[in-house]
Amino acid sequence: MNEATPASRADSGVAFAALSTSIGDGTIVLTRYCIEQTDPLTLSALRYVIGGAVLTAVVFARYRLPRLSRQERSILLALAVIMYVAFPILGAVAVEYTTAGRAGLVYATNPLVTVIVGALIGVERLRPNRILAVFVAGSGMALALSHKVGDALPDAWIGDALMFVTVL
Amino acid sequence: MFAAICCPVIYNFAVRPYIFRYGGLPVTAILTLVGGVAMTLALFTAGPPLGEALDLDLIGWACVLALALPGGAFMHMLWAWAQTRALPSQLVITVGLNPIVAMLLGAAVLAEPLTQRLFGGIALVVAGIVLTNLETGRRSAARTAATRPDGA
Repeated sequence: MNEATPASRADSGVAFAALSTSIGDGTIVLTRYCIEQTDPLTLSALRYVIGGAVLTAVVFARYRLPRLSRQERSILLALAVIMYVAFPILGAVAVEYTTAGRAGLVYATNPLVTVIVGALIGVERLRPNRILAVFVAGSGMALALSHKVGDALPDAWIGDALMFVTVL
Repeated sequence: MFAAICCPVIYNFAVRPYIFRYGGLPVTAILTLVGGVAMTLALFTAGPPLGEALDLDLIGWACVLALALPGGAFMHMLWAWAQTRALPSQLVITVGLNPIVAMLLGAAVLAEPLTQRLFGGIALVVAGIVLTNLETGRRSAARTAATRPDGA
């Protein structure tokens, strides 16, 4: 079997990411089915505990758990709290103060923040095609969500624009 | 909301060295389990007891399992694999698919209406994903390798 070329390797990474994102979106429909029987944060905790336990069992069966230094354990604990505790809690708090549509629009700035942070910490360079791509994709999200944001304050777009400039 | 979107940005950059060093599966397994336990502890300490928020019937538990395994563990695994293959900015632009897939599924499963704006949005998001990866090829993949945190 031929080894994957660098080009196909990068493309497969994007394909994996797109599949991961799409699965995440599919969970929204499932969430709507069972959310009335629980609450979003409890559901998140259940998802992570069950999913993490199954993955850890697979790791135990097939590999061995990495031996981590104390510093690495601290960093990974902080990352777990940031991604699996702070993120869902902040998201849940945010939608109490805005509409889901507007929250989605702000979330559309995620790629832009990533590009800027990546450049600032030297992981990747700011490239014109990436910046343009971020704006094109962000416009797509904005267009798709635009019918969901009209029920907020009439001048709320000013706040969104200011928020976007702040992100920049 | 902005504080919320900073969380995955920090995570995506900070977790890369560990995924390259120890592999996507072990790191994702540890982080997901630790995160789930931490979230459970946070719910116990900050809110009402967990039991009061759990009134799931059989279909509800089936949904939870589907959300936890294909919709949770497998989804995070795919993201970890993706992180070893391309740069964060190339991957994170796929979040543009987020509302679009949700709306398409909403139309398919919940009979929600499809709008022309949605199709325009799909075209723009796909254009953005293609555009950000135009330079993929040897140059981009070489750059991904060059920015591997372990220097391998």
